[in-house]
Amino acid sequence: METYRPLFVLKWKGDESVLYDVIIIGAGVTGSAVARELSRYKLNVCVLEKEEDVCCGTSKANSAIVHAGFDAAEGSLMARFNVRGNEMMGDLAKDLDIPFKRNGAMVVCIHESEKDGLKDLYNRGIANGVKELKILNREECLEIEPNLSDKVVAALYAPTSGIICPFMLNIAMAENANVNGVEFFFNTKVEKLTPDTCKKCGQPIWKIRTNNGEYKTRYVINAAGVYADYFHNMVSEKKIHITPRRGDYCLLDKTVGNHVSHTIFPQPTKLGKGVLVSPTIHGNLIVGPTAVDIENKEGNNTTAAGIADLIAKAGDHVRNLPIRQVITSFAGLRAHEDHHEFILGEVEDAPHFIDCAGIESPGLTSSPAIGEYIGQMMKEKLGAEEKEDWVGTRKGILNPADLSIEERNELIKKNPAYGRIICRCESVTEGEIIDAIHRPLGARSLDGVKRRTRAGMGRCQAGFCSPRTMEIINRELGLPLTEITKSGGDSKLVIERTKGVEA
Amino acid sequence: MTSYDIVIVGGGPAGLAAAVAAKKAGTDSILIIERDKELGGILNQCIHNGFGLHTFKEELTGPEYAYRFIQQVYDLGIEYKLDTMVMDIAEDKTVTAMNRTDGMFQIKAGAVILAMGCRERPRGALNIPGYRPAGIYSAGTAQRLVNMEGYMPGREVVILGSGDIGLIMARRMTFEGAIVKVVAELMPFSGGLKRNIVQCLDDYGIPLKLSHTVVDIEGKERVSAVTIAEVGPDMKPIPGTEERYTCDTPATHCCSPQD
Repeated sequence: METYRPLFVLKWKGDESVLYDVIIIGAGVTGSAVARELSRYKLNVCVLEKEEDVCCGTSKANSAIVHAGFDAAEGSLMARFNVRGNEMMGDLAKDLDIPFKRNGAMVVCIHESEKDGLKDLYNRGIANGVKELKILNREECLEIEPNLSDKVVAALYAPTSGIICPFMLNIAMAENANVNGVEFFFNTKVEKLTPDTCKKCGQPIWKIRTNNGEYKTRYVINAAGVYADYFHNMVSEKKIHITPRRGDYCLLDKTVGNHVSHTIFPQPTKLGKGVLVSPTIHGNLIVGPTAVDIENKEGNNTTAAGIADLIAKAGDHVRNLPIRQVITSFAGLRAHEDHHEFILGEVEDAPHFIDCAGIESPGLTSSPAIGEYIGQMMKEKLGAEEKEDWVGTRKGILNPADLSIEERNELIKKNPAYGRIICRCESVTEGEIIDAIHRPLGARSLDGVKRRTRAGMGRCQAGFCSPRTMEIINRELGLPLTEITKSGGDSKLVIERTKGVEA
Repeated sequence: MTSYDIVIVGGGPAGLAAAVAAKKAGTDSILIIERDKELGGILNQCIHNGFGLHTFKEELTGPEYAYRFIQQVYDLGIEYKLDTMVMDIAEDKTVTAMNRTDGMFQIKAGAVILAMGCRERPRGALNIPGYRPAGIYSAGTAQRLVNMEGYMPGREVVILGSGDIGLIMARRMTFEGAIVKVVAELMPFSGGLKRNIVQCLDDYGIPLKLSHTVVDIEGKERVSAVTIAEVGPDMKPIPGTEERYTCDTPATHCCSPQD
């Protein structure tokens, strides 16, 4: 058996005597994008995350679309960061070795009377700086997307819209930040923020109490997703309010992944962009989301009504939608701020507390741009110098499917683990899973492995590979099987030995 | 490229029986490709008895029954490769497979026999709403964990689906000290054998609720409760018939052929 040595040993807890320059609350896509940008500078930065891994909240359950930017209101931060994020995504995906494809989006109009709405959207897109927008007539629509509804009368076509793996984007940015010196502390829930003054320099600092020690920092960045209002309101009199807006999704099997090749939207409404149908970057078909405002910030359960609503709406713009091919459904929570706008910047009555709040769609697309903006802001505020040895690129987990048979055999000879398939639905090898566990900020749970390698994301939804993956985590991390979780906390997969089996 | 007259994908009961029959009928060049580390397929985790009544006129457990075929494969000198995954079958019957020692290799087959068994449909494919905590298993995965890995997935169990594996797992979990609260079945009848309903549920006082399905799963980290409801003739839940069961392991069972 090969032996593996972890490259980076994870620290579980910060050093209480350290005064950090910046502490980021939340290791979702926004927090990780900010962390990566801050890792360019000679700053002492850490990220506090209440879950056991990065990408555990809004970032893990969304449409995975890199929006073009025509939907956000003209002059809004959403529009600005969406367009900039979309522009940045191509190079970023290359640098971080993650899959990304500009498959183009179509906003489909099925009522002659609503065609004006398309024109408005087109004009808004142009004003926002979206390139290559076009309005297509019925024939042009059906030519590039034959499975559109027969009722289609026209569509707004946005070739710059793309599809991405949201897990990979989040994970890659966090990994890259970590390699460049940003520390991540998981299972660390911020409980209290107290303003203080630095005894040496007289500047404002923040004391952060968590369930995992106390931290001190010059600046706090609030990237807490649906909880961003909670932290903001803890330090400011100017209250904000974030509603978890639940969206149910259905993910369809890869056999129908090419039912459409573009991302198909209905015309947007007040509640959002509507139920889309899109191929995913990995070749599935995604249908969703619904939009239901709820109270519970952890309420990411699907409901029968939600799924029924989704199925009813999804057929409006795409014909013969093969909804029976669903392999899983899930729900995500948008961090909807009352004014439907990003809140970015230092809070007026809370010096050195910086909000990245209300980051709902187009938040995933905007994340690199938000990172860039906050990075620049912190550089100026802290007078930070750039590191000479910053490495902005990262090599992803090797996907043997990209190799020729000869290369693959070479690899298996060197490391036989690449010859053993663990997840049969997605053809994931043991080698990839071992890499996922031992790389920086590596996986420690079944979901952690899943989001990094796709093991368990296929049509059997981990029925076959769960016991095998558990075995590998057990061996590589020395965790007893009864301690291995689906997603951290108490989400244990097995609870005890069967009778008469020696432990 | 190595060639075989027959390449059989899957070393479970169907693949083994096909190999033995082909060999006895005079084909010498046969290769069985099995992804698991032993022959026998799903039978290895079916440790209950009741196999072999028709074929061998005796009552055997799954592994014993499988071994009857495995023994014949050994005796007849039929070739097999374990821990090997078939990655592709081309139109000209070139089979591409892979394992740790041979790497990726190709075999030219005169004929290919697909004997891969089935794959359970996951909870998502059944549109069961609720949270997605740990503790939700297909009956086959639960059976593998209990019978082959030797671990219990939970102590309080609700089972959806009354096919034979669902029924047998109800009894198996009971033997291991778990409390099986209910077996729910969407259809107005059970798909399982009558003897399994009697021997696996009735004998242990486990209720079987026909025309019922799961309408909600609670629990953020581990499952804490499951709500089932009666369904009407349209298979849709009837409001007002909900019953909530606290539990830590619901299992679902539904099979579809592999492809």
